[in-house]
Amino acid sequence: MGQIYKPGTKLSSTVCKTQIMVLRAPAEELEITCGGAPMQVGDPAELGDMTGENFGTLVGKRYTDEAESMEFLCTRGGDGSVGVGGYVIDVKAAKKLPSSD
Amino acid sequence: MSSGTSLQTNHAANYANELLSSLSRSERVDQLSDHPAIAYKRSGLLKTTGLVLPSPLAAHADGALMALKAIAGDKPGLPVNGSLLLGERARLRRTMRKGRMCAGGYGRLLDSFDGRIALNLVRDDDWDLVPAWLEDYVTDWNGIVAKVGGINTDYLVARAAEIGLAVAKEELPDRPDGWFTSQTFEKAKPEKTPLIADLSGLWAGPLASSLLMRLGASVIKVEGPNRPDGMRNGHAGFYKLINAGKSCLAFDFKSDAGLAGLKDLLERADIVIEASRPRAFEQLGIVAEDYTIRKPGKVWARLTAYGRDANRIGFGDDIAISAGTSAIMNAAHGKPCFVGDAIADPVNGLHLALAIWARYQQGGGAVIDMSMRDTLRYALGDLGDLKSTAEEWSDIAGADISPLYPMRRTSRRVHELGEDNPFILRGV
Repeated sequence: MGQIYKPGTKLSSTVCKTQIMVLRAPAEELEITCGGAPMQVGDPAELGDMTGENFGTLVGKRYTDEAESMEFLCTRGGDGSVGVGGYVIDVKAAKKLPSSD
Repeated sequence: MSSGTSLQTNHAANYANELLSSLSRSERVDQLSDHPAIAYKRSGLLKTTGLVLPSPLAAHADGALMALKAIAGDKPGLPVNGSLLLGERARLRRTMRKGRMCAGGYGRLLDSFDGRIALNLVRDDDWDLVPAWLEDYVTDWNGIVAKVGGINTDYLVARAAEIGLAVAKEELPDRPDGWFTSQTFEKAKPEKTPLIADLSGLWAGPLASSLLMRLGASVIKVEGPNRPDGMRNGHAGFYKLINAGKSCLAFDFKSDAGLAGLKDLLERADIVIEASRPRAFEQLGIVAEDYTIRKPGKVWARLTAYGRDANRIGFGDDIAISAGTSAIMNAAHGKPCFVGDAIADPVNGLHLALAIWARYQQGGGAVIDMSMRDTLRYALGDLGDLKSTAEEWSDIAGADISPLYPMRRTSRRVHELGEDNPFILRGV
C-alpha cells in the first residue's frame, strides 16, 4: 500500500536499525522499503528478515533516486538498503563546503 | 599597541594571565593594551556590528595572542595584536550586519514561538533540508519566518540537530570554568619544526594552523579532491591571509589508496587539527586516541560547534548566538543581533593555537577538545551591568578618532588543491 509522504516524516526499517527522514518526495503514493520490507512510522517491536541485495545505510548520508525526484536523509544507519518501487535508492555526493559562513 | 593618547587597560593582560595559569604555564604578562571598546572599534567590529558589545571580548582576543607570544616569543609574522584578527574578513569583504542578517549574509535571527533562534543556511544544499526541518515545503525566507514563529525553540533546535542544519538558540549561558578539555597520553620531546596535518576548513582551524606556522610548524592542509576548503571560492585575499605558505594535499577518503595516504599522514603528524563531526572519522575508522597513543608527544586537536557529545553542526555566526552575543546586545541595547562576522571562528582559532602550542611544548601527548560555543562564552568573560557598560563604552568608542588597526599582509603563496601530492606522497 503506497502512501504520500510529507517532508520531515521519519520512517523506520522493519528488518534493521535504519531510520530515514523524508527531505522531499513527489506528491504521489510511494512504497518505501528497507531490506525488502516496507518501512513504517515508528520503530517496530521486533525485526523481521531481510531479503534481496543489501549494502547498508550510513547515518548522515543523503539518498536519492536516479531521477532525483525524491531525497531521504539517513538519521540512523543499518544493514538494509532503502528502495522505492523496487529500485534501490543510492547515496548522494557529499555536500559542498560553503565558501563563507 | 600604544598610540599616545588612547585609553590603555589591563583587560588583555589579565585575561592572558588567566589563560596561562589555566595551561599551568609560569609566564606572566603585564603590558597595558587598548581598552576593550577601543579594540572593538579599531578591529572593525563596531563598524560591522553597528553597536558596542559590552563584553571585553576584543581585549580578550588581544590577551589570547599575548599569552601565545609569552609562550612562543614574538616571532616575526605573528599579528601585532589579537583583536585585529576578529575583523579581518568583514573589512576585506566590506560586509556589515544588516538588521537581523549576519555580515556574511547567510544567517538570520528569527523569532520562534517562545524565543529566538539563529538559522544559517550557508551551504547551497541546506535549503533542501528546510522542508524536512519545518515539516512543510518552505522554500524562501518569508516562509521560514512565518513558520518558525509558530514553533518552540527547543523543538526547532532538536530537529535541526538531527538533520544537520545550523540552528542555534539565543541564550546567555553561564561562563564555563575552562576553555577546552584535554586527555593526556605519553609525552615526548617536542620537535623544533613540528609537522601539522590540518584537516579543518573555513576559518577557525586554518587560522590556528596559520599562527602555528609562524611559530615554526610545517603545515599540510588536507582536503578532499572533490571537497576543497569552501573558502577557496570565497574572498581570495582573506583565504591567502590564513592559508598562504601551507602545503596542500588532497586525499580521496573513499578510495583505499586515499584513505591509506591520509592514515599514514595522521600517523606521522606531530599535530593534527580537525573540525569534522565525530561520525565522519568513526566511519573512516580513525580514532584520535589510538593515533596519539601510538606516537608519544602527538597533539590531536578536535574542534566542534557544541562539544562532541552534542553531535551538532554550527558555523561562526550561529554558534555565537548560543554563546551569548545576541542576548548581551538585547540586554544592553534592546536589539538582538549578530556581533562581528562569524565571531566564534577567529576567537576559537586564536584559542586553539594557544592550547595546541602550550600542550605541544609541554611534551604533547594530548587529545584536545574545543567546543566553539564554550570557548567563545569563556572569552566573552565575566559580564557586569550590560546597559551601563554599553553606555560608557559607546562613549569611549565614539570619542576614538584613530584609524582601524592596519590590515595584515602576506607575501607567501597559496598552494592549489592537492598541489603537493606528488612530493609528499613520495615521502619527501
